Amino acid sequence: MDELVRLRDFRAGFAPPDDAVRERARRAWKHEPRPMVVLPLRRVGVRFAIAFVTVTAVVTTSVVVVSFLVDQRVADIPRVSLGKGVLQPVRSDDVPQNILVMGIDDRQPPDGVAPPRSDTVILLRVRRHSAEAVWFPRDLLVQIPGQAGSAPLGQAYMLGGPRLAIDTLKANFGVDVNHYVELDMRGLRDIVDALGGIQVSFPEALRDERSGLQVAAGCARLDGDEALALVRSRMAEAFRDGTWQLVDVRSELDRVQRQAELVGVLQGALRARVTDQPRTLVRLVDAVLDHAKIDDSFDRQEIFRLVQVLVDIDASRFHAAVLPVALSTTDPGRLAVAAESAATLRQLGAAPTASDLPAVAPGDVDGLRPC
Amino acid sequence: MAPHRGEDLSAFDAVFDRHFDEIHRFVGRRLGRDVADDLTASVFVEAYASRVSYDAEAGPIRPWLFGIASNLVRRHHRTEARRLRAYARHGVDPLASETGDLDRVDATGDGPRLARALAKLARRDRDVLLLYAWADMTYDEIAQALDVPIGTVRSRLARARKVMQAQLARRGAGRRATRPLLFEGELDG
Repeated sequence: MDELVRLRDFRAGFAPPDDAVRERARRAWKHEPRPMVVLPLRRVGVRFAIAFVTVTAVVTTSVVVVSFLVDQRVADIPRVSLGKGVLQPVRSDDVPQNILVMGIDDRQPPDGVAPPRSDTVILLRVRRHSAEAVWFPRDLLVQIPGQAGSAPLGQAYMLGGPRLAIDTLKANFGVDVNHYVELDMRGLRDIVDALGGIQVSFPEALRDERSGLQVAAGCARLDGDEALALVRSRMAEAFRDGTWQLVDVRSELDRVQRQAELVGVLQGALRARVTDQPRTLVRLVDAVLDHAKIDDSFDRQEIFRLVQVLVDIDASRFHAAVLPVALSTTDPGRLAVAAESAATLRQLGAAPTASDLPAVAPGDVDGLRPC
Repeated sequence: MAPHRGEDLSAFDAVFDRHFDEIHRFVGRRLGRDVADDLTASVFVEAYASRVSYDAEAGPIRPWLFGIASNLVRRHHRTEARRLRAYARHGVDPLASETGDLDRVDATGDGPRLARALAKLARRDRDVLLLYAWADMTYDEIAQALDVPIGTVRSRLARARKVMQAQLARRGAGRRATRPLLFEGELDG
């Protein structure tokens, strides 16, 4: 009997949870997607209703699975400390969160050492049931705090790491960043591979000898390396009239446009694949976490909410857009905020919203489409 | 006939109010407060989402909830084992160190010894023992919660208690300095 008495004493010292914890938990089940949606059966049709309930149930299960994966691994994600006052705290669940996602190229040249460079700057704005992503081209001319004159946005990270990149976005676009996520380039490759590749179709054969891109015309399944070569490409050539012709005349702009398109295709593939194969999710979360760093104030609850939104939303609630830019008149080869978006930005007086900008539809650059 | 959603919410609210704290305590003592906050929320998310599959004929709702909690805790069994071993080794309750609440002492100073003994249990045996000792469930209820035959509950519980007794009886187990008294088990040697 003794060991039972001792065990009960052992438990006795545990204090009850805070009211805040209890109420947060209450909100969790009240707002969770429910399999028991009562549908107007006669109108929609029983078959649809059954399909809908099944899909919702699978998505709910996958959300529960994600919460465990994230739970288990959250402690292992490398953290970036940004210091006080750089990130703005999130005030409530109802305000959209701004997450700065930077794609970092940390490959070293064969000769010597190079600092990590930010290849991609995306502002991800996450609401409760939708998300928007705005690409900021790295060649965009901006004022970097503490630097004279204007310089390409990509230099901010090189000069002062994530902290200066965040300050630069704030100074130039009025963006309050709430959280910071860094992904290295191999992250995209592993994500695509975790999904078993993605199927896209191109109207013409494309190649870029510098990025290693090589795709035939028509429907193709790209693996991770090929997808990476595609989003890196800024000097793509298409096979037209029997010869290879340069199509990326806008260089950087074509590159980011292509990234935005590909992310749209990826998000669609993600949703489809996860729904019929929940195990994909396990590989996917691993792929992301192996290549990510996050800021040190990003807590478990917020990470969970982010993953949940991204898995849960359908394409109509995910907007991807590139900040409208034009070739700079003062510094050819660089980009400047386009006149019309400068006006939009001033009007908004705050961070640009993807829904205010022309959305990137698959097919805008190379005619890249899912197939 | 599907229940009306409004009724469902308020009925489940009552279930939540009645059981949240005790499940939180059960999970918290096993995995720590941080994990318990989220995990206990997940228990109710899962319970609410699958409430149609809850079979009222099969028994009361409490064992069903503890069953979900046990399933979720199982996925953290490595964390649990690590915490228990750390507690046994260093004599500092990981719960106290995580909240900075150093006043929190267990009544007997017995924690490290118990942690060490619990760490020795097979995962399934520990599940049964803690449902019995901490959730005060009967054999029947445990069988319902874990969806195993009642005979299995009996044999797991018996094995768990035997291991506990043997471990607690070992000399030098746990940290002596924190304990004011000898315990019976120790005298048996």
